Amino acid sequence: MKLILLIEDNESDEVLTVRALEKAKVANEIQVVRDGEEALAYLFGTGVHAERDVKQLPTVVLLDLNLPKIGGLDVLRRIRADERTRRLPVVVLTSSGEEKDIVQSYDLGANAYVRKPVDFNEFAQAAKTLGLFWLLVNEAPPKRDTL
Amino acid sequence: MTRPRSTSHACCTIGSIASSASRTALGDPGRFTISTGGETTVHLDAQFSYSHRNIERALEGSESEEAEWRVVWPDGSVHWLLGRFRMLRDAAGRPHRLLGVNLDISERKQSETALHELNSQLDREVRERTVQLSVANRELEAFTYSVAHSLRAPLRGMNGFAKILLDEYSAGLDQEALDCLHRIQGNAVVMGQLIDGLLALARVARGSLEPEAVDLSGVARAVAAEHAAHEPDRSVQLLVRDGLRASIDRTLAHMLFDSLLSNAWKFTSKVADARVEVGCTQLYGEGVYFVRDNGVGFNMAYANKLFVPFQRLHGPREFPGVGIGLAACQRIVARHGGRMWAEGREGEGAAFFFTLPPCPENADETRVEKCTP
Repeated sequence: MKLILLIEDNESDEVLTVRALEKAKVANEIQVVRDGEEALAYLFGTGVHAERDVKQLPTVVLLDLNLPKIGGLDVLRRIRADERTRRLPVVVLTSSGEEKDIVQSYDLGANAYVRKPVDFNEFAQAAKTLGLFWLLVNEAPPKRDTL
Repeated sequence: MTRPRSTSHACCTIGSIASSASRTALGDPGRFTISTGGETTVHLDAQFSYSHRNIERALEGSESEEAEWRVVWPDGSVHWLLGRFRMLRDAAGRPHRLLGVNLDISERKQSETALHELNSQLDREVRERTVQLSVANRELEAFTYSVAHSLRAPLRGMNGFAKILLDEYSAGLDQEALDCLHRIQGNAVVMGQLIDGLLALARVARGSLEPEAVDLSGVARAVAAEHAAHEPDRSVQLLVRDGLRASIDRTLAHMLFDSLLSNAWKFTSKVADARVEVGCTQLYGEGVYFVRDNGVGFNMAYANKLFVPFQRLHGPREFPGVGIGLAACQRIVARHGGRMWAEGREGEGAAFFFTLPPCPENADETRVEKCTP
C-alpha cells in the first residue's frame, strides 16, 4: 500500500498536485490534509484522526511550508522529534525558493526540497519525478514493528 | 623632603607670582589675589582646580604639571584656564615654590563642548537611523517572505487550469478560445518571472556582504563559458583582460557578471560578428571596469532608464527579459561603494562601466596603470 500524505492549504495547488500525481500513476492513495494541526493529528492518530491506525505511515509526506495553524517547519520539527515518525521521508514542496527556507528545512531534517514552479508543465514533471523516486526508487525506512 | 604645609599654601604662591597675562586671564588684573585667608575675588571651582594629586606629583619630582580649572570673573562670567606649573627647588633640592602660567582656554573649551554636543547628537541620530533601518529591513524581510510564499501560488493555478483546458478540452474550443488560453498561460509565466526578479533584487539589496579578493577575469570567463554552453549555436568572440581583481562578495560578483554577460549575449544575438569584451580602463585617475558589446546598443537619451527595475528599452518579442538584471547590477556595485553607468549607440553596441574597491594586497600598487589598455 503506497500512500502519499499531501499537506497543502491552497486548493488550486492541491488539485494540481493530486492531478499530476495521479497522472504519474505511482500512488494507490493520496491523503490530503489542509493545515499543520490536521497533519499532526493524522500522523499521530489524535483529534479528527483518533480512529486511524498510526502504524500505517505514509510512504512519503509532501509538506507545504506556509500552512494555517501550525506552520510547515513546525510540523517537520514535530515529525523528527517523535520516535514513530523520525525516519519518515518528508519532501518540502513549496512556492518559496528563499535560501532561508531551504536551509531551515534541511536543518530540521527534510529529505528533499522542491520548489513548485509556476509553469504547470514543469510542475507536473516535478510531481511525477517526486512520485517515481520516493515511491518506486527509494528504499523506505523499515517499519517500526520490525525494529 | 619638606612639603609645603598645605595645598592652599601652594595655590597662594601661584597667585603671588602670577604674570600679568595670567592675571588678565583671571579677569581682574588690578585686584587679583588668591589667598587662603583674605579677600577672594576669584572663585576657584573646587571640582576643577588643581588637584592634590597635581601638587603631590610635583612634590615627588615630576617635570611639570598641567590642569584645567574654572574661574568665575567678578562680572560673573565663567572662564576656563589651563594651568601649567612646575616645582622650583632650593640648592638643597627642597621644594621652594611653584612656578606656572595660566592660559585662558575658554574659546577652545567652548569649541570642545560644541563638538562634544555635535558628536552626541550625531550619535543619537545614528542610533535612531539604525533603529529605523532595522525596522525597514524587517518589513522588507516580511514583504519578500510573503511574496515568495503567496504570490506565485495563484499564478500556478491560472497556468495549471488553463493548461488542463488546453490538454483535455481543446477539441471543443475554437482557435480564438485556444489563443486566449495560451495568453492566460503565458501571462502567468511572465508574472512568475517578474516575481522572481523582484525577489532577486530584494536578495541583492538585503543579504550579507562578504567582500574578498576576487579574480574578476576568472569569474567573467566562467560565466561566459556557461552562456556559450547554453547557446552552442552562437558564435561570440570573447575578450577578457587578464588580472582583473577587486574586493567584492564572490556570489554577488558572479551575479554581476552573469547579468552583464547575459545581456551582452542577448543583445548581440542579431549581429553577425558578435564581440564581447571585459576589461578595464582609467578615468580621472580611477580604475574602471567595463563589459562592452557590439550588439544593438541603445539611444543615450534613455540611458537613465536602463537601471530602473522593470524598465526595458526593447519589447519582449524583440529580446526576452523582465528588466531586472541591470537594476540588480547597479545595486551590487553600489553596495560595494562603487558607481555604475552605461554608454551606447543605437546599432553599434553598448558598454557598461563600474567601479569596485581594489583588493587590499594591491591597493597601494598601481592597479590603475595595469588597467590602462
